[in-house]
Amino acid sequence: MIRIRNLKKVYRRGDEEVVACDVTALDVERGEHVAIVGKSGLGKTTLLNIVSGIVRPTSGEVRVADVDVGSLGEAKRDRFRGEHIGIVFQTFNLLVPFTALENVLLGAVFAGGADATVRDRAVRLLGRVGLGDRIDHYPNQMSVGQVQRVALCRALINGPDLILADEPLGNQDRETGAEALRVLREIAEEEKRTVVMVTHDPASAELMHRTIDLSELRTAS
Amino acid sequence: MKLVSISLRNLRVRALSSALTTVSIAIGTLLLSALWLLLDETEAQYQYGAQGYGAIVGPKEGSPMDLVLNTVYSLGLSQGHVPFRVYRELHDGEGQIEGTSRRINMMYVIPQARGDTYKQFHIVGTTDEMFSQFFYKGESRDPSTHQHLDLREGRYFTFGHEQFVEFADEYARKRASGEAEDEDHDHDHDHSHGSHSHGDTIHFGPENEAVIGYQVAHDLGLRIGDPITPTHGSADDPGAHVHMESACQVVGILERTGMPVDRMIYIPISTFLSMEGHDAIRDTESQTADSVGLSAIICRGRRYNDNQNLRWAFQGRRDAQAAVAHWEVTRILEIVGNATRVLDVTSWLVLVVAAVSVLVALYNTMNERRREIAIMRSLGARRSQILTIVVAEATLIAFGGALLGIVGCHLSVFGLAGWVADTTGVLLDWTAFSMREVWLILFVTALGGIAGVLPAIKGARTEVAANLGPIS
Repeated sequence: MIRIRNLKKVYRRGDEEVVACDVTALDVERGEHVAIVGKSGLGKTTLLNIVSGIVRPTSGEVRVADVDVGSLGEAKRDRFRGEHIGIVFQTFNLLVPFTALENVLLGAVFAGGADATVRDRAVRLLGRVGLGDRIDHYPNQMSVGQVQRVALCRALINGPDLILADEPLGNQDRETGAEALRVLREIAEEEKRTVVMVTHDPASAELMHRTIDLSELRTAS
Repeated sequence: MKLVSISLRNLRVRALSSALTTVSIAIGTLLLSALWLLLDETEAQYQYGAQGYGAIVGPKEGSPMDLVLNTVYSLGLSQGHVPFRVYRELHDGEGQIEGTSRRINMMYVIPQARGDTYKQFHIVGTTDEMFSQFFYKGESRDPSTHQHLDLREGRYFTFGHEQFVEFADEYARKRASGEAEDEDHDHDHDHSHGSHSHGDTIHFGPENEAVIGYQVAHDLGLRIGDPITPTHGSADDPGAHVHMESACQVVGILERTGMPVDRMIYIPISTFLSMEGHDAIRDTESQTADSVGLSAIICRGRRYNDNQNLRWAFQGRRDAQAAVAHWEVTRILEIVGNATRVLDVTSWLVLVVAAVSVLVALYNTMNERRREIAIMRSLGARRSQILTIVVAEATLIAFGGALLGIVGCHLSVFGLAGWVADTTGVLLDWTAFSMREVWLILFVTALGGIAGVLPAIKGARTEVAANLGPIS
């Protein structure tokens, strides 16, 4: 599903070059659930941004579902992301002016439209995560756990091949976070989705099929 | 859910800012559409309202434009008097007019005496030829097409040319013998001519009858049989006094014409001239009927050239002047047109400033919306979709403002129609919509869309990764 070779993302800060991400080789199979761990500053979020096409790599090859994401133009990367990738952010990033249902539908709107079928799927997904009676609630009317589950549903609405989750448990208590993660894994298993999750939490990482320490993928200097 | 739903929601979230920019667009649209409506109606009504008035003969004092404005639109004051002999010359002279060797053929010659009001409406003393001869629509050569002042209700008063001639002779005779002054002094006691009251009941004299225009009846709620008490001058004048002795009874209500006629009250000219204080003969040397003073004489030549020839004929005379109504109206509209060009430019500027305010308001929100836009981009929104959302916001504001402006314009016209009619003589129809308003809405909407492009570009260029949240 994911194939990365000799990936580097370098930012310039004045005359200084800062390496934000450095991965020699990384492969993730279709349907595999992988946890990415490592110290802060290793570029875990940058890696997810590159895989999702939000950021272009400075060098190296990044293929997702056999598409060379790095070589795509911006509009194509946006479209590709909308159609093939679902993202769960650390801060969940729901849009406050929109209800839970509308937040879930937003992902579909940009991918081509949220018709009645998509709406039904959104309602089903929200029901599945226990928010059937909260679909018209706004993010500020929900608990952190509920917001997290809405974010999960939004990532799943377009039936993505790949789900990228950046510290999806946020600052929640372990029990609530574990429950959300269980739901994510359950749906991903059922629908044969690939999951790549960045986490600091060893217990969450253990729930995945495989754990990769990003520091071990860096080019030897 | 569509992109436009996102735009609408964004406008709702920034309700105050959206409302203020919408109002600014609405004000610009209102000004422009109100100006257009006023101009259209003014032009139409000044052109239309002067039909029927071929040439107007009036006092030598004042300009031809004053004469037309006063006679046709009841604007300004009557500038003086035109002697009765001119009326007799025009009416009975069989086309022979002093000052020209050409024969001038008249279709009608109708006298008018003005200067009194009832509430906000002008009273005009005239003969019944105003109803039987005067027409405001139709071909001169084809009587079947003539559109006269039809009755909606009641009847006309009867006071014709011959009666007027008799009245003038009698008036002059009484004046010469001093009886007229005695009558004036004894008005409160002598009710042989005019009306008098016993308690709450007013008894009207045979000539104290009034035929009123549609607007007069409508605005004052007057019906057949109701009394009208003329006020000398305007009701607002501090020195104005009410002619209780000359109260007239409404005997007829005219059909609506859409002309200034709708705002007139017609009474027999004898009644008007006989009112206390109406000194019909001002000429101290001559006390004959010829010196009885009139405010104006409405004429209509059989051919258009007759009206022009009448004007030339009076150019060298010292007792009166003649104005061709159509010429003066054209001049009035030229003057109005020049003045309104300034207003037109100002209104366009207001609209452009309003569009700029949309641009500034949206542009300023782009900074606070960076995260929101970054999230949408991360969900797969292309730059073009962000562009569409922001441009749609500006377009919706402009469309809402334009609609509000047009509605506001018509409501303003509804509220101000009476004042405009009193001050300009133009009767505004608040229900009159034009295709130009549809084009204005479309134009303003497009202008708003254009104003939204710059903020939209800024929004679409939002850096995604940097605005999503902390990088670990």
